[in-house]
Amino acid sequence: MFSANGPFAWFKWEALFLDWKVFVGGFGYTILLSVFALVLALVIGIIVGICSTSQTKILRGIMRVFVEFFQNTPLLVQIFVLYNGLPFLGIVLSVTTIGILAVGVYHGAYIAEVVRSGISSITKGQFEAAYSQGFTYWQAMRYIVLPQAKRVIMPPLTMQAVNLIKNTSMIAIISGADIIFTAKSWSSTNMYYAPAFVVAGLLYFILCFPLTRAAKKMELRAQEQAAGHVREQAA
Amino acid sequence: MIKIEGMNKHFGKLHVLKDIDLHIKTGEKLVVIGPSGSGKSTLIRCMNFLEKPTSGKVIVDGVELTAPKAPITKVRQNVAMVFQSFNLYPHKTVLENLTLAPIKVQGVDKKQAEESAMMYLDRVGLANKADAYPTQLSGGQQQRVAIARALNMHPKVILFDEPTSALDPEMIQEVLDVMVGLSHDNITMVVVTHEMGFARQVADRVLFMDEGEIVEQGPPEHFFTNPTNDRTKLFLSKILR
Repeated sequence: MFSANGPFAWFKWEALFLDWKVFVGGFGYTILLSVFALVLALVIGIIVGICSTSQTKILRGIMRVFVEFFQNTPLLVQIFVLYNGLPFLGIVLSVTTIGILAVGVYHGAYIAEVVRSGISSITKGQFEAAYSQGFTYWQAMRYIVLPQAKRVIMPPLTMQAVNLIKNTSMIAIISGADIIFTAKSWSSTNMYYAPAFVVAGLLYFILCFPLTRAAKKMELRAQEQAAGHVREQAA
Repeated sequence: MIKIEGMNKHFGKLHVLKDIDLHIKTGEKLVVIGPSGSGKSTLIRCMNFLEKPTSGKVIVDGVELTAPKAPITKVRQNVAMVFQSFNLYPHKTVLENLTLAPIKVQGVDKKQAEESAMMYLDRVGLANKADAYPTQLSGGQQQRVAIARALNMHPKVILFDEPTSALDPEMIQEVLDVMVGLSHDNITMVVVTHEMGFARQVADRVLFMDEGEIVEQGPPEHFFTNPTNDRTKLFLSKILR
């Protein structure tokens, strides 16, 4: 494999490292896409997630439709629709905007579910205590329920961020200059596919691994807190 | 202080409160007893509108809660509640549990809220726990904090919804002692409880409920020594052994 003309031949690596700037460009673009998409996904996820726990049936229904639609159709299709469909309506968006929009909304739907289940995990008694003290629904949410739900929400939310970063690679299909697209276009000229995609994978790993670790840590801490809670309740 | 007229409450097909008429005077200590499922918790929860009656009127401190667009959050600031399961805010310290609502809801100055909070914590014997978190306290201590939290709203009424039912036997007394202490104040108290000793000692009036109806009511001496209704007699014979 690593022989003189194998897929991982040394001279192919040399060629790749000579062009390192190209890969750094793709890496930077993926980070840019991820950051903006994540901000959008968080805004959508938090709003939709909170509305999904509202007492208004219609509001809950609308949120349900939104979440189910985006969770049950492939991101790839959503990107294609934005890329090929919107121009028919006279709307032409840049590839970057489409990437941020599609990935942001798609993961917004997932984050909404994470937020919703986090809020539902807080006992009804917390709302009742807040109401009995004269808090409104939104005040109760802000001061009492959300700060507690945050602990439950953070680990799965972080995993959503990881998925989001990996899913920005879909933008390559409409020629967004991210890591995957860079790897593909660089290697298509010289056929050095193997090292190019190993490096591409590594770059995603660099971004995602610390987040996955952080999620694990937060989860452990939450479990310990919960266990401590039960112990003290029993004592 | 609290006036209930022709109130009904349904949970789906279940008719849990039937034509309730009840008038609670300012400063009165009313104890509500009855078997579980008799609707006593629902009744007390209608008084601060945690449950919405299906029909009838609830008037608290001159405000009709059952009227459309009633200022419910405003009224609730004067009607504190102590729950069976304490419902302290676990992410806040004991002191913050007491000051959160006064600061955010009533707009009390933080320093002032903390001063009165410390006073009430001292009153329930837990001033030294101000910086602890609720999960670090025993059940009895948590319930005393919950009472202090209620007091720090400076309410006109305190509703107690089975405040000792979730406690270990050895912790019941410390909570009851605090409540007995409170009963010397002019505050209106409505207490749902199974503690007959407490009812005898504190109540101005005892009210017995069964199957969603007020079956019998009267001053405690009459109530415990000479009940007239058969259902009351049966209940008391079971509980006073």
